[in-house]
Amino acid sequence: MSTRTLAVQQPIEPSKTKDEFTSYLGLLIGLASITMLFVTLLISYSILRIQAGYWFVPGEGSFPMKLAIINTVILLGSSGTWIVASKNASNAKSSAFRKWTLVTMVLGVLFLISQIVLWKILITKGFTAQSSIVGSVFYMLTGVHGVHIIAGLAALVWIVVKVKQDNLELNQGRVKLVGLFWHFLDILWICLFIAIFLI
Amino acid sequence: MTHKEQSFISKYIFSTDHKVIGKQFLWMGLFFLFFGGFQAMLIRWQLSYPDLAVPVWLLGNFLFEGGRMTSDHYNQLITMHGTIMIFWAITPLLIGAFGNFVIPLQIGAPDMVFPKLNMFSFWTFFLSGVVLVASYFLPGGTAAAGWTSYPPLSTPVGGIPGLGQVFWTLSITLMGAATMMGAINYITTIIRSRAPGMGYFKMPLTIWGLFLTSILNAIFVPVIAAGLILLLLDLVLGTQFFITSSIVAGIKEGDPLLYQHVFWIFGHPEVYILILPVWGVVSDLLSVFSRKPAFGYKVTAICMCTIVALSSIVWGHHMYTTGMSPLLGKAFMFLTLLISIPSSIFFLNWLGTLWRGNLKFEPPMLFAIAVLWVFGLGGLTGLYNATVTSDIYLHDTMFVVGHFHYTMAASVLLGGLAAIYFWFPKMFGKSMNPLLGKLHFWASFIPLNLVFFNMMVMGYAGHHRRIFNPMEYEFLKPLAGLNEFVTIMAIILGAAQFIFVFNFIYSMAKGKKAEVNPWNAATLEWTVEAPIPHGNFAAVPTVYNGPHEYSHPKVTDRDWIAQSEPLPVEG
Amino acid sequence: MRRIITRNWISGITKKLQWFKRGAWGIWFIDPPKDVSLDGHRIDSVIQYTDTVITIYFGIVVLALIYFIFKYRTRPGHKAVYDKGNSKKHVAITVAMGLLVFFSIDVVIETMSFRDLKEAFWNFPKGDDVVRIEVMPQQYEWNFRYPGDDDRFGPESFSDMNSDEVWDEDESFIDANGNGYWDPSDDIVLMSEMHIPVNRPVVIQIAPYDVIHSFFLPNFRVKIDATPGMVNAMWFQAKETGVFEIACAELCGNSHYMMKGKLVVESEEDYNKWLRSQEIEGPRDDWYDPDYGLFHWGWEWKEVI
Repeated sequence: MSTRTLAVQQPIEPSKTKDEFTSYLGLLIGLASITMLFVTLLISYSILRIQAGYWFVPGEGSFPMKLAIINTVILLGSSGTWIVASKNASNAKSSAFRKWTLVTMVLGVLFLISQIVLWKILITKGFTAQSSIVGSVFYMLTGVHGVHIIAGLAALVWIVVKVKQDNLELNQGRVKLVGLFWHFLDILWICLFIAIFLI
Repeated sequence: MTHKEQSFISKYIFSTDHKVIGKQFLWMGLFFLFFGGFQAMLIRWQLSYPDLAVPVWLLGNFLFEGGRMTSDHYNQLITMHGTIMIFWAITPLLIGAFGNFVIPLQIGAPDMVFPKLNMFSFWTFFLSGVVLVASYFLPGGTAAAGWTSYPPLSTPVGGIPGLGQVFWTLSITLMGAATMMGAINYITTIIRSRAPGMGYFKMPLTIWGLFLTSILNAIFVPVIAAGLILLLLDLVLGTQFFITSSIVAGIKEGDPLLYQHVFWIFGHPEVYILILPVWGVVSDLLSVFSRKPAFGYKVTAICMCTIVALSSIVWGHHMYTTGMSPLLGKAFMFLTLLISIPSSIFFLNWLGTLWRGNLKFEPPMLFAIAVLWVFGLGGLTGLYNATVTSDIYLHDTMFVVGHFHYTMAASVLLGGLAAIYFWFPKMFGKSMNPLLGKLHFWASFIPLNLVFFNMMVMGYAGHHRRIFNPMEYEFLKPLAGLNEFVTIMAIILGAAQFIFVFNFIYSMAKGKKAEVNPWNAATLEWTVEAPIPHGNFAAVPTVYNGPHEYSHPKVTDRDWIAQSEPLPVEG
Repeated sequence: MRRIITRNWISGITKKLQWFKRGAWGIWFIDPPKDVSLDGHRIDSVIQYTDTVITIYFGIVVLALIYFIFKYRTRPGHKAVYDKGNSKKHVAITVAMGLLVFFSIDVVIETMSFRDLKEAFWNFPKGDDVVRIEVMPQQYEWNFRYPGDDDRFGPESFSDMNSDEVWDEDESFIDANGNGYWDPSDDIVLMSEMHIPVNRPVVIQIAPYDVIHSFFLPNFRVKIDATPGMVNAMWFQAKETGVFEIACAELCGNSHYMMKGKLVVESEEDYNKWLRSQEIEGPRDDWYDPDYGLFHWGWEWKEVI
């Protein structure tokens, strides 16, 4: 009985044999799950909004609205800085990569802090999760997104650590994956922003 | 092959080896199966002897003051029995244990593609179990709003005391996270790590079942997670997603019906998630023990895919009595009934596998045929619930309980036992005692039918669900005798499981060493000898044949040929 | 204790043996509660048809199983036939059998069900002889409201004690918020017991006070959920007089099992007599509490489709 010769003769640690596409596929499935989570939350929002008969944009016209736009710009900026970081990674510039990843992280943290500030301002204006269904939906959507941003920050920390541990070359695939996740969170925020503030 | 020396902790506790993780899920699943089964005994006792204290041998005086159960306890029991059996018994047993153990072996892979994620998934699941069990120690008791946890009953409006509902919601969310991690692993592994030569239509049907289950898990568990997030916010933050302050229609704020839709959009695919692995396993086992290929393999796989697709658009049949628009009701009825077609077809394929076979009645085969029986019956009784008019009467009666116990509990339990008997030699390297297995089979199969068939009888007689004392109602008084009979049969069913426990433990400890391939099965897991080393195969196998090459005319010296063995050339 | 178990067990078995005497293949060998409704028989017919066909099909499956188990059991010299069942013939036969099952059961019960929904259950009666009742379940009681002489429903009257109410020219009063109500003081509001006349259609509208409940009439084969924020409607008609039970068919808390009501079906005369004799159950001076929602329940009758 013949066995086709493969590149791998001896079984080795499985995680080192998988190729880039495999990890990419895994992340895609995870992102599909997260998408389903937010699709359900958004559909629930739509139904609650249609049935409520009245709705308003949180902080319309006043400072909180401007802050929300600033937050969006910060997050979009962080996606931009990440693109720079990943370009450095593919050009094997390890310390530039680290620097730009840290900037991305800082912007991400800034986004979260700024979201919390936005929350605080709205709460002092009497717009709480309990004050109306609009409030409940607002804090729920931004809160669940915020939790996922924390996960994204953890991924950024992880990639910095991994690049430090092994070298940049071995981690090219992982850099791309972290980028995919971070950009996903950004696009997700844009959808939420449109749903909460614009429609 | 050499592997760095592992400590006990990294080998058995925080292992990334799919076989170890599979066994960890097995222990958790079996523990909760018995926990949930014990709860069923308490429920049955209360229903048939509402005026008697729970006896000592059911730990009555230990659990309840003076052995008397209150209606609060009863509501907690029915809630947790359902919750535990679905999420902490079936899910870890069929999907966690067998998914993990079998998938890489059957597709010829060294392990799952994400071993660390796999380990993380188990420990998240373990944590969810801890939170669940912790809920029992809360001062207000555990959750008591039914496993469906409809608001507003499950919100502060409903009056259920304490934090039980909060813990319940948290534990299911954690369990859902573990499931999603598992789904990522299974889907990616099956797509990417199949051995060379194993096309999709050369995979064992067990893999098809687990693959489709994982796809449903990945898509629909997040849906219930969303619903539970909203419910959790209602519970702890004082929001009103599912609570409405007006008692009549008018300005609506929250909407309890929204929860029901979100829940059942998950809930209906969930029941298919629970049964798909069994469908796959049974299809394979019938083939192994009939010594002929699974009849209509491709058609069966396609039917399973069709059912998966249809399952996502039929959830409304759980909500016929909620006052939905007539058009919607009709649409859901039509779509639900459509599922009959692929279901009947692959059921007939099961019979086709037995037809003209060479049937060997080992314990796995007995249980597999039993699944045929209970799923056939259970599936047919679903017709009553799919039809709007008969469901108006039968909704929320014991008829539904009988129906889903046949399709979900009986089929999955019997299928899970078939899987345990079948893969025990590969998991533990020992043989289980076949005589005890056959005794266990009959001692389970007969009472099981007598319990759940009679529940349907009671439901048809009007016995509605989740009631602490049926004797409050005049129209239920004639059912007292039957209720008692069902309880006695349930106790016998419960007791019969100890035959299995004894066989299992004894065989693990002192059983005869098993041969490499005691069943002469063709799939790849039977080509490696237990204890299977880390990395599974000494070299990546090449797959030449399908998974069910039994009684092939070209193979003359025996009635099987392994997937990784090429067929003999014409001489 | 043991004697009681044995006696009940034996009676359970003898009841089981009586199933051969039942009609329509009586696989559910205990009869449902006596059907006293106009349309309940439709549900019973659908169930009986389904019983018959699935007994035939499952019976065939069981016979086939027994036959296969016997004929194809392993024994020396016996071999399996290598057949993958994927030939065009085999696929066609299985698909045809699947479609046969679908058309002989599913399509038939679906047609029966659509017809029954259209002709009866969703075909709400209109006209003067319709009895209208509002039902409000709460934890753990049933509240019923009948319109009074003005034949309209309204919230509880609090005209006697609150000077904020004003009567307008139409002899209906307006509350402090300027909302107009007709005179609700003649509504009949009761708990636990519902009376209806025989042979007249009864339409109920139902909305709960707190959590989800479900209004279940076993003797009429119907139930409808009561969901907060919605008003659902259901109708039924009694063919016989008698006293029947109402059960709650949705878990609503720790006394859900005790939440039963009484449905009294009586002759037209008796019903009118009963209606006239009811005192108006409105708020009383000494225990009226404007913040307690249960005093203000009731809604203007919704026009049913």
